[in-house]
Amino acid sequence: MANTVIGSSITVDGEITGVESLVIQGQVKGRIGVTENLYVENSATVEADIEAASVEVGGEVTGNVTATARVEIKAEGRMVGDVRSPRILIADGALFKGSIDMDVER
Amino acid sequence: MASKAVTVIAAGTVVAGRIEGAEDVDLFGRIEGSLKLKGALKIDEKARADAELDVTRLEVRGILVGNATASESIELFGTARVVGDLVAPRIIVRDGARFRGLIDMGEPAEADDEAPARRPEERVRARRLHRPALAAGARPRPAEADDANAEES
Repeated sequence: MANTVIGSSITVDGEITGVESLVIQGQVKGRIGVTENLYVENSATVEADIEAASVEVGGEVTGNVTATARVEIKAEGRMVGDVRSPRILIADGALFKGSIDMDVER
Repeated sequence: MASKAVTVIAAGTVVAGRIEGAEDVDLFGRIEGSLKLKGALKIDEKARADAELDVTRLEVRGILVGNATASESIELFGTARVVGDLVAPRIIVRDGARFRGLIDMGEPAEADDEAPARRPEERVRARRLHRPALAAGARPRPAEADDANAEES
């Protein structure tokens, strides 16, 4: 099955939960909980607390992020919030404000 | 993705809250709350929507609980299970679809002398009021009389 994709013109105000990967191109406000990967794409704005296996931030994220595997903030990514994940990558050019905790039980 | 953006809500994904947008949405998982869309919503056979829907076009093959308004059309396929009121100029219910609720396709074209945009219950009453006029006019042909009786009961 295909992933869940929230397209660029879509606004979600509420909660998204799932067992699939989630690709966000639009705007999401609220809470996100997925057992797979979350991709916040360039055009996306996310204002939410996030739980996922891994999170890739290419857009704008405001909120706390907990990832069981890894968090990557790409060069175009902008992020404000606290991050908890065993592996964290921040690319050259990325904007980040918040605390980082890599001391997470696997 | 060259032509038109499509949002997909996969099986196993639940979106609860308010969704708005201007593109098509294919639902394989679940939504709860409300969805307002300039575009088509397709509710797949295994999908479920517990939501108020306001869309351009709606296709239901799965479960919908909630009222739906479409500016173009609503189509319930044979696998659809729907509870709620449907409002659209075109509403298609296919063989096998299960539906409970009200259907409003707007004002019928031939009701020329009636004010437009009536609520459905008012329209029913208006039609009843018209009945004596029909009887008083030229004697209806037997077929028409039968129709009138059938509708009256």
